Amino acid sequence: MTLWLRVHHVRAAGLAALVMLVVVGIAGESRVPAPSLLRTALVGTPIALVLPLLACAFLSRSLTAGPTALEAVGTRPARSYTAALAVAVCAVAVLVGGLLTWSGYQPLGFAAARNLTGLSGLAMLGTRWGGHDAATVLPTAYLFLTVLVGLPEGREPPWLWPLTESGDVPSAAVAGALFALGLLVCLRPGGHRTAAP
Amino acid sequence: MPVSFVSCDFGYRRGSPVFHGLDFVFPPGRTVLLGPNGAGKSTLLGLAASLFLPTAGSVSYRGLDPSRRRDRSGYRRLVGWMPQNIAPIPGLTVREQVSYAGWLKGLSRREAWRRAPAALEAVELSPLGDRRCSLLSGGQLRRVGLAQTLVHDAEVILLDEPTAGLDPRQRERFRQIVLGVGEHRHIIVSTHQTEDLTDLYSSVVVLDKGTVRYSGPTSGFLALSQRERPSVEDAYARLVTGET
Amino acid sequence: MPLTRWLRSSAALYALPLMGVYLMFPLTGELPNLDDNWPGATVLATAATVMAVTPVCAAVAAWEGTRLRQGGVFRATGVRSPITVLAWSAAPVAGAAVLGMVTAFAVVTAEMPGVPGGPDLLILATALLVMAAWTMAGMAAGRYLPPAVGIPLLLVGTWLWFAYPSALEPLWLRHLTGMNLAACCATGEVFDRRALAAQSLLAVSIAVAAYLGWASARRSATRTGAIVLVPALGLGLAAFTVRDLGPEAGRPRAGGLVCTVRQGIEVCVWRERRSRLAATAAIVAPAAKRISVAGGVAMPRRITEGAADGAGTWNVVAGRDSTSDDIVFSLVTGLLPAGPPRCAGTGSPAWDIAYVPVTVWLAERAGVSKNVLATKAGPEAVAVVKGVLALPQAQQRRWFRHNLAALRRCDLSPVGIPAS
Repeated sequence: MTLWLRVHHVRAAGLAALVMLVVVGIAGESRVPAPSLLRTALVGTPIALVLPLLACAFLSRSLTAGPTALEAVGTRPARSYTAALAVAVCAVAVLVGGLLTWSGYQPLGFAAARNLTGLSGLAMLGTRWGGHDAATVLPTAYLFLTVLVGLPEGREPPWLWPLTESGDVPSAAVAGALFALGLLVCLRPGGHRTAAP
Repeated sequence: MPVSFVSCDFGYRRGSPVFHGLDFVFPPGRTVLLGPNGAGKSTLLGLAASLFLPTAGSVSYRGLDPSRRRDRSGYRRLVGWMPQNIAPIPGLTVREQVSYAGWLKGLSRREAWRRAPAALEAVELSPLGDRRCSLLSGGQLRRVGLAQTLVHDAEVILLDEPTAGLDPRQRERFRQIVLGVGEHRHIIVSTHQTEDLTDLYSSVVVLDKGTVRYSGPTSGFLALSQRERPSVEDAYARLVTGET
Repeated sequence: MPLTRWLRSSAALYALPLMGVYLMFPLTGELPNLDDNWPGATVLATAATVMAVTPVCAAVAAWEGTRLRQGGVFRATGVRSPITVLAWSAAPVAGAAVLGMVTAFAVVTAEMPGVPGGPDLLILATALLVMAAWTMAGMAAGRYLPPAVGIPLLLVGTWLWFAYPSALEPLWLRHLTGMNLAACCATGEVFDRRALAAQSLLAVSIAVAAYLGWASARRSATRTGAIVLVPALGLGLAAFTVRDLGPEAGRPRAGGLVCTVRQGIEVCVWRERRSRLAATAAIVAPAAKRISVAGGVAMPRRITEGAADGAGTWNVVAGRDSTSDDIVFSLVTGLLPAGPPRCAGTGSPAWDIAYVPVTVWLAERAGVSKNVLATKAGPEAVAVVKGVLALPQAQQRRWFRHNLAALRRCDLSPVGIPAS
């Protein structure tokens, strides 16, 4: 298991999630101007909503690292291990992010953890259809699309879940559903009918 | 009996079917798998290794069918596989990479670590055990791949192009490994190198366009040659061009 | 390889629509603020392109770098030098960037009919250098990083680098990125060359480090040290160069005025506004007389858009969309102090109370219509001034002079203005 942790760069994934939570805790509400389709001026997007993409990138790398073919013919449940890793990282992020929000220290703490979860779900789906190299193309494109569109005044459509605040339940539900879907795909045999260990 | 295929269908997602209704049993002992590029050799070994599952039919060994979840683990313990491309795992040493392969095959962490030196010794890589895999040459990496297959006690060893890129001395070493393991295990080697094939393998399987053209003893295969001095190349050419 | 196939195999081609859409928003959003001068137009076009296109270029370059690594290009014994391989591989990315820049200039140029001059080549060259540097950094990163990490890292990292410093202190940080949106330039300003020098310096150092990383993966202390030290040195020197700059990179323009004489007063506007010179002179000369009579101040010898001392020379702004009321109002605000005095511990209460009523009174006496004043200063200030205007001329003048003095001093309270 120690070697599995090393092969899958688990330390880097954990560290990236930790750094994300720390930065979100310290400066999560700082806004970065970005162009918006719905507004004429540049709209500030809180970095707490964008930083999870980087943590998601490192987590994706962990999930896709290692000798895929050898792991596929091993007797160890390698796919379950990667799924457990994704669940563990996101669960810790949700716990810490939730605590940050609940304690009032950082209102966007839970939103950041939610975004990590949802984007990781998208990354797992992207890996299935685009391969390991394209793992983060889907979450990156999706996040930037939503930033580009921007959140319309007074309305929060569920598909703009990466931009909403922590308390938005439909957004959390969509992110959770994407993560669950990603896990399902991650656990299922992929591509041409391969067998899960 | 080693691995058997019953009415197997298999095809890649974006390609034409590779196998259709394949009924075939690998001969016991040391078997060489021949065939032109794209014949389906690697896919056949992938099916035998349970990397792929047939879309119809079954693959089995000792009554264990990897399509059945309850058999899968047992099947994989008994079947070892060396893929065509051996990639170094970033950050791991040679011994660690071999141990990792053993651990994946169900050995405990300690057992895999303990057995790795013997596997490396078999492929003459002991002096490089502490070197990072990413620093190895292509030939050395193939030997790491071989060690990965030997580290656990598989009864069936599937080797996909194991000698590609090996120098003559290492090919000779490989010969000895095959002769050594073949006594109590089944070994199936996919290769394009036909020199000393008759001395090394007891059986030959020739695959072409997803169809087994020949499966039988080496002597029978050589008998297909119509030259005065029977040659492997001639027999092979007759099979894959359909002249027999 | 045929050109079309070479282009088709590049991810830049597929990222082009995203770049285009992304570019249009900062560009069209900022167009209404564009002044009638080419440095400002160049800053807008280049800054929008740098902000919208460079992160995509860097991410696409990271993908290209990965493709070359996976294709075994670095292990092959090709006769092409690393810089040639880099140039050919990055060319579609650079092409997309240049296309973005051309589009931005096409949009901006449409807003500049009749404005003499052309794009500021130094600003343009600096922006292209910044884009090239980050593209090279992307290629180099792609050589080492897995694409799952490299693409988002470059995209988000460069985006943060361009967008975030404008919200941060120290202020000089924003002048290093190359994203100069809102940093400059009104027509009366020129871009401070120190900012351009700093941006170029940092871009060159990033490009050098990227090239070192790209050209060889051999581990050596010298090479690794250079890859770290060169950008660090570039950053240090660049920061030193812009350490004194404030939030903006514009500084007053020294030349470029065209002048005429009207009623004994020399009236000067920027050469970009030559066509409006006569009309401006016809507005400001009589307005200056009215201000002089009402406020009891000496008539100016010169009214100019350039530097003015507020005594013999008054300042005016005759912008592209300015009405005659706007021009007179600018003449009035140009005469008043530009900012509150620094009063120890007490803030500047006189300024907060008196500035708007004094401005409104003077503007009204100079001839600005009441409706415009109500729009500019609010009905409350207009109501206050209405009371003052009911006073005799001499008393009005005393009111004005006292309150003008109060705006400049800390020890004087305004008179005749109720604190709101």
